[in-house]
Amino acid sequence: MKKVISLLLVLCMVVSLAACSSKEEIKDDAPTPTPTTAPAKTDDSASSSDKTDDNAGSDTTEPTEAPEVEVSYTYNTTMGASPITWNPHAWEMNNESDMMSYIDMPLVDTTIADDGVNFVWVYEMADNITDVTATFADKAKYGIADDETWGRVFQIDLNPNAKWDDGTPINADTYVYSMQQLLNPEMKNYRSNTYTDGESAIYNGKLYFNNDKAGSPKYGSVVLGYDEAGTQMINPDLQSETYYLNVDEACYFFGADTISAYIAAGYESAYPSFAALSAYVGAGYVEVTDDIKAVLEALALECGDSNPTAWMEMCSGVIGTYEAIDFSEVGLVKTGDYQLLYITENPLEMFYFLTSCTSNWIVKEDLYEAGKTKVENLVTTNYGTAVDNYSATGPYKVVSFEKDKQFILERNEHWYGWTDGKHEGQYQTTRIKVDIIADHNTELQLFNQGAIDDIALTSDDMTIYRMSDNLLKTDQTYTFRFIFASDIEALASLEQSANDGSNKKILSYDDFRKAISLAMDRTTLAAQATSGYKPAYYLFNYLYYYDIANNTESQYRNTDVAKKAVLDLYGITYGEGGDYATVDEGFAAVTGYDVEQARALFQSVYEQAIADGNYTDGQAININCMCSAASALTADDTKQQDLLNQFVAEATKGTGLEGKITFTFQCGAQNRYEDVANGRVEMIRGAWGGAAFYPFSTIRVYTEPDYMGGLEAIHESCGWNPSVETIDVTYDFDGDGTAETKTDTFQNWAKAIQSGGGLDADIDSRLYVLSALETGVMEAYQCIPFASETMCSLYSKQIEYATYDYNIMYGYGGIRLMTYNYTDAEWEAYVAEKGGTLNYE
Amino acid sequence: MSMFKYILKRIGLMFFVAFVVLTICFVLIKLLQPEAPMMGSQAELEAARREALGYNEPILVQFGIYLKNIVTEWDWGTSWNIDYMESVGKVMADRLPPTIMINVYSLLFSLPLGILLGIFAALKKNKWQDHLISTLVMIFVSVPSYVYAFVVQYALGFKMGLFPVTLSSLYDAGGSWTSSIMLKSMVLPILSLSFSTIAGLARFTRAELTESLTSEYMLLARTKGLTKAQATARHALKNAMVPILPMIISMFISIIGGSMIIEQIFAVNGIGTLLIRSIGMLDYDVFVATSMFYTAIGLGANLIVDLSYGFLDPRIRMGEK
Repeated sequence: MKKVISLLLVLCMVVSLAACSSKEEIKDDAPTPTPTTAPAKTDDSASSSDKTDDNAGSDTTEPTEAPEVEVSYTYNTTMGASPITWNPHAWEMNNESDMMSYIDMPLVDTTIADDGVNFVWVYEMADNITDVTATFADKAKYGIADDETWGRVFQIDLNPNAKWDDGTPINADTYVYSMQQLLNPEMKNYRSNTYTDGESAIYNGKLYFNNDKAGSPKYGSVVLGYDEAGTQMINPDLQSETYYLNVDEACYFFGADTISAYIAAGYESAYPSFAALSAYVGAGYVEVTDDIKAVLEALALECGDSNPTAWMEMCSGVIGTYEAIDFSEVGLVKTGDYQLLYITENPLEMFYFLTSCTSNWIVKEDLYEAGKTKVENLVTTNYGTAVDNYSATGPYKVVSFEKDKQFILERNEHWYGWTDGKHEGQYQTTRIKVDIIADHNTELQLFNQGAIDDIALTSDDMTIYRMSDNLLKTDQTYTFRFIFASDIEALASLEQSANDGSNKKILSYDDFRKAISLAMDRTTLAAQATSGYKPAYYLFNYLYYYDIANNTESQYRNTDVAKKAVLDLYGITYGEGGDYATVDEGFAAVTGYDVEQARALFQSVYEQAIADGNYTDGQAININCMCSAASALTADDTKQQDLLNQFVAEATKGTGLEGKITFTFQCGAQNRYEDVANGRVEMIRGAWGGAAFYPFSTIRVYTEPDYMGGLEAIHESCGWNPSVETIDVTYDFDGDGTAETKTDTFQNWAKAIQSGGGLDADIDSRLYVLSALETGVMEAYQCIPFASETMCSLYSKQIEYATYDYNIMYGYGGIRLMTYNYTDAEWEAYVAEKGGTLNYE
Repeated sequence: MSMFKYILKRIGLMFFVAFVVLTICFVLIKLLQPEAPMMGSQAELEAARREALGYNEPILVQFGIYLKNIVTEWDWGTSWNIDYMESVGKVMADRLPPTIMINVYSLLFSLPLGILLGIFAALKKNKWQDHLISTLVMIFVSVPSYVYAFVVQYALGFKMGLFPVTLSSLYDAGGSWTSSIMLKSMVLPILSLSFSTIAGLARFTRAELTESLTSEYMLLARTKGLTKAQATARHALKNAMVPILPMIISMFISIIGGSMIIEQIFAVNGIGTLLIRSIGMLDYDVFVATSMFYTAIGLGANLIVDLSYGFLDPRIRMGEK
């Protein structure tokens, strides 16, 4: 035994000694910074790989390996999780997109204009992009009408100097091959829908993607609508009188919604025939038998439609057969070694086409093919998952990738930008080192030690760093809101499940939810319980542009109608005799906080609910709020919960509900949006964002079940159905100088302001309807917006951004324009001089 | 022979338990559905992918295919959301080295210290040294290891700058797990993992040795002329080690389990966080394989510990009649 103990002790000492070696040793062992290259201005020596480039255009500058320089500028940053794949066809997460932004070049990019404020487009992998629709000769083949003159055919002249990071040239064949793989029906690539369904959908892209369905029937709705005489319009493409029911697909009867969504929402109790349809959920297309027809007829009657053929509105019929098409019929055509035609499915303005070209789809064929394998019935590739199965096209390439730990990017010597003379003074960074750090405290320590150059802050951090000179506040498009289930039966069911004697049915009262909204001091909530978010009283913040293509200052929120929408919601008047002189003054004064009105509403709801038998005096009201999918509540979650309880406690003082309402924040549900829509939880916290240039489309996520994939995808839909709920809009639609009031469902109004929707031609009417819809959604109080996301971060003293005024088109200038105050060696010395810890407070 | 039968029986039972756990894990994780994509075309695409991957088959059919792949090809599936398209075996193998390194070093550091402290406390029973050690032991046993992690990281790493606050990457360490840079970066996680092990071992050793020291055979040994040191080393310590050694064996086996929180704090890309991440990311095959990995560790450790009793002390050899 002594021997064992002695051996263990010796081992322990050896390990300890080795581990505690001196700092000097570590410096000696540290890898020498890789010799780096810089954008060369005059060097005309070509690398051997460059010399093998036979396909490059002869009129272009031969890219050369840039000269080595002594200094290095490393951008040290972190990610919370490791990228999984940076294959442009398969990436999903933001961290993957971030990584790709360093190693891939888009066809075009945006940067700061010479005036230092506006943005300009800069060609990168493309040399030029022009709309050639008007002169395109082969219009018929691509379904382009003779009179279409813009937005369908774009000629892309490729940059002939572009190469993969091993020097292999990139030409039109690369783009065509890559698109064919992206749309490969056997691969079901995650990013394929950008080119099959997005606004830049490529002609026949969807058909090619559906080649695996060849031979199977294509279904369409039996009823397309009603004409002005009220006659049912039957789909003329129907190939037979055999009808089919697919409860999971859209149908006309339910406002183009799906029946399964209604079943999931629990409408069986209101409409008993729904129960019979539950058997067909997930069954696909089922031929309508006499029994099914009887159910559908009964259901139509229960829903109040006495039209004897109304049941047909729930049915589909075969309108054709999927056919396989060749990729040559897809709208991406090679017209030269370095020239392509990109033909869209629908007309698209140049601005939006260029926007779509800020990402690229190309992959390196040999690596892509080598990585292919078949898993079950899915063909997939491991392209872009390791250093050796990916090739970069941008200024940096991957030189090291350790899963869940770190990846390192260094300059790609084959990038055209080092020698093309168009990137002088750009990309000063010589190396990018990204550490994967999941723990925020660890990350903060590293930042204060000068080991990383930026860090996102939490609300706790903000109390320390709010006055920092190195603080950046970046507005995001996301608006956080509390979303409620308000269907009384769903709430009763939740009450029953809770089995604690508490009440939830009171949430079905609109005024109760409105009172919660008015009780919330959003300024305090944002300041104390978020990491620098801004209080929000609306669905769209200032990052939404209604006409970015023509006006870079066209923020929807800055329009009078958008401001008025908020004033209307809170009953604030302006103008002569109003609360404020102008709409701007009124809008500036909005806080959304009115504790007296909230108190009055709580009391009136209390009385009404007792009278209705929906509340028993003295009953506790326990409201569970599923706030995130995370495994544990954050400090901010807990603060928000406490503040919400505090606000409501204050607003219920002296009412019958005093001390009765308790909010409890929970986490861990993966499907909380679906849960609240289906009444499985009474309240969630959520946020919508993205699509900053498309406010007219974004409103559809609140108002159009068919756009969202069903009623259950409308978060606020438990107790509120935008395909049934109507809203009056008073506006001079016909331009005769007199305003008319029109009434329609939220869904139909939203459709009307989309392209081809009827109101799309006039921007003023679109804005007016958009603002009316925004107000209407908020007036339902199914959701209560409370904060607009702002990302607060610190940047190190080593780096400088090109600008500190955030612009949605170019951010702060990005890695392209980032500059350094110190070289890596100088920075190390600077940090050491400061005792190893920097002060950013 | 009966010992052999006992081992076979235990192994058989192990496989049975493992099969039950495998079934439960497979069924439970498949019941979790991913958050549906919001937009229509994305939802359609996701549905098509799930269909192609066979996720729409009945769960029992999927389970049958999964079992067949394990039995015939030792294929535990493919990761999609943690390591894209990587075999699950590789996903786990990639994350084992840092976990094992840190835990092995931690054990090598803690075992001698813990045992020595326990022996010392037992020999100084009821003296101030014993009280001091026992008090410290209580503190270190009671406080979770991640608390030490925060303390040592902040004090030794951040404030004093003696050690890096995170584990080095292989690239930064010159590609070696045993380079000085790597070893130095391991000091803080090793320390954090060691405190509670040292305290646990010290407490256990003290208790066992104290009992041995007061046994009658010790009195006999002393009356036969052995010095106190000789009697302690040759008899008391040897007997005290009988329950301690199986504990050490189980520690060695469980080191590959890792520590989720310690790994997160020190940015160790180990296996500790894999199980939790696989649930969060709904990486079905990784979850099942990782769960089975932990199950196998637990079952294996139990079996080895049980058998080790018999080898260490023939009187308690199991299966003997």
